[in-house]
Amino acid sequence: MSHPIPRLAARLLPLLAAVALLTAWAQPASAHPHAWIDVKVKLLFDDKGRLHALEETWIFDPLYTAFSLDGVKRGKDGAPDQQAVDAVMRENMKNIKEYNYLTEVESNGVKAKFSGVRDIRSGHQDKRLRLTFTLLLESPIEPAAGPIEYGVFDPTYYIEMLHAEGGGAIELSGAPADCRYRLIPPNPDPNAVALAAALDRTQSAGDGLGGYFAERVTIRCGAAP
Amino acid sequence: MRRGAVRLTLLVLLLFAIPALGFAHSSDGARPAAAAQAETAQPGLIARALAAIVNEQRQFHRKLAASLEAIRNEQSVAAAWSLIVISFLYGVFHAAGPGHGKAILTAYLATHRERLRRGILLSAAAAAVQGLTAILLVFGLTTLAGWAARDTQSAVRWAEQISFVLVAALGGYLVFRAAAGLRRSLAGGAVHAHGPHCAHAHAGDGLDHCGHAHLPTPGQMDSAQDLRAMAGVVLSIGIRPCSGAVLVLAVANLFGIAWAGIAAVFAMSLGTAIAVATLALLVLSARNLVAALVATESRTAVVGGQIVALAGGTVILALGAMLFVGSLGPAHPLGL
Repeated sequence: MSHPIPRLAARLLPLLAAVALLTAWAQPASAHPHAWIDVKVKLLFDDKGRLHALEETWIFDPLYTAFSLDGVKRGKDGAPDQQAVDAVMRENMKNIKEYNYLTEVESNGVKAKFSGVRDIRSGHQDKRLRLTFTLLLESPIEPAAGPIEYGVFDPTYYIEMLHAEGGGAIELSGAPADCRYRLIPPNPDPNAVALAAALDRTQSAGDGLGGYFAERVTIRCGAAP
Repeated sequence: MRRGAVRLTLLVLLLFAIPALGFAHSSDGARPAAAAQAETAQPGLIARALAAIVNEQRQFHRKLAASLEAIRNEQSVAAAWSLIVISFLYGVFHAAGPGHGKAILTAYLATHRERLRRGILLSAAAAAVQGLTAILLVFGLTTLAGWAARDTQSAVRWAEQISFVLVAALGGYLVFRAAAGLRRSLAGGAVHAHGPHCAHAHAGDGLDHCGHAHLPTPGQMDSAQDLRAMAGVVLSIGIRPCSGAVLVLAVANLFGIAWAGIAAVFAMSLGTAIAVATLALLVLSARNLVAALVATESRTAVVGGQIVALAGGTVILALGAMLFVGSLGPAHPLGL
């Protein structure tokens, strides 16, 4: 009688709210960037003015570089052997193939398919690994038909991939003169981030957390809206 | 008695809802469709806090990298301090963000009677074991066994899977223990409750006996069982090294500043311990408050406590199984 149920409930509610708030944090996941890559993209247009390939350059962070080049053969100057660097990068290329090279190209809401890569080059300078490859589109995209959008990102958000700072990270090569690009910085919606954060590192199919933190670039040509 | 039964039902429902909430939420999140829907909703307090934490975390890796390079290049005390401070904050924020350790600890503490001091001890021990695992793994494999740094990632995956199996085993053990207790209670074992002024003492086992019932409730089991459950919590959380810690240790070692890596990992563990202990305190205080509101002496309360413990064990078991299945997926494509 001294503790009627309503009063009990009233006392419990704030408490429960606090516990619920705390347990909501206790999600089984650990997705936040453990490495970063600076990205440069050259968009290659064919002689008909259609986008047909992306030449991407990835510059890995110093920790990742030191981590992955440990134990490889080195020259007299301490620089890693070119063949060893190539071997590390070949392994990476093989693995990211399954993930569509961590690249997404879209036009008019349709995701483009890739037919393969060529011109793979790797290097090491200023204590950072560099990887360059040309990603071929299965069918060239006519830019006048509508805006083209691309993003380069790790869907698991384990690696943060952003366009290199200081300009020149995006280049339109052989594009019609009236083409322009715009980089849209990530502006993740807190709700989406909260839900995506509940994804485990291994549950990376589709847009995981990384998609919300990805930069998007749109290319518009002529009168395209 | 009837009022007691109502409160008991309420208690069982509430305590079951707490860990279940976190669990259900995480499985919802696995569907991208849920995320897409959320974009139209107003961000809630939790969502905004989480987004802020994720945003903070993305800065830390760059700061850690910069301070490690500064130490290598300058060997200055200032750079070392900056690494330690960043690592400490990394630990705090890492623990404040999503993580399997906190899911296990909160599920265990919300459904099992533990004293506040024990909750803090569990949090600190789990964080310390996690730091030590990272140190032993990196130096054991690279310095002693001569592995290349990048190959430690496969060992990290192994440790992760062992950790998830241990989580499931802990859950199974808690379920088994609670079920056995429940079976005894329901079979009508002798309940002899001592009043609040009980005089007889059981020397030597160091437990608080006043008000104890001679039914093994979750909080009043013998200390060997108690220790087993606690060790299970600490090991299942701690045996999975934080991948950030492994990376920092391995790179510090390669830079020839292994001491800085070890100092950084200790700082991370301290930060994690403080953040998780705060969480443990809050969960335990909430639990104790709820428990204080129901009659602790009645037989129904004992049974209720066992049902809650059973539910908590089930949640931990399911969590372990889910994490293990999830961990069977492919490794990160870039070898991290």
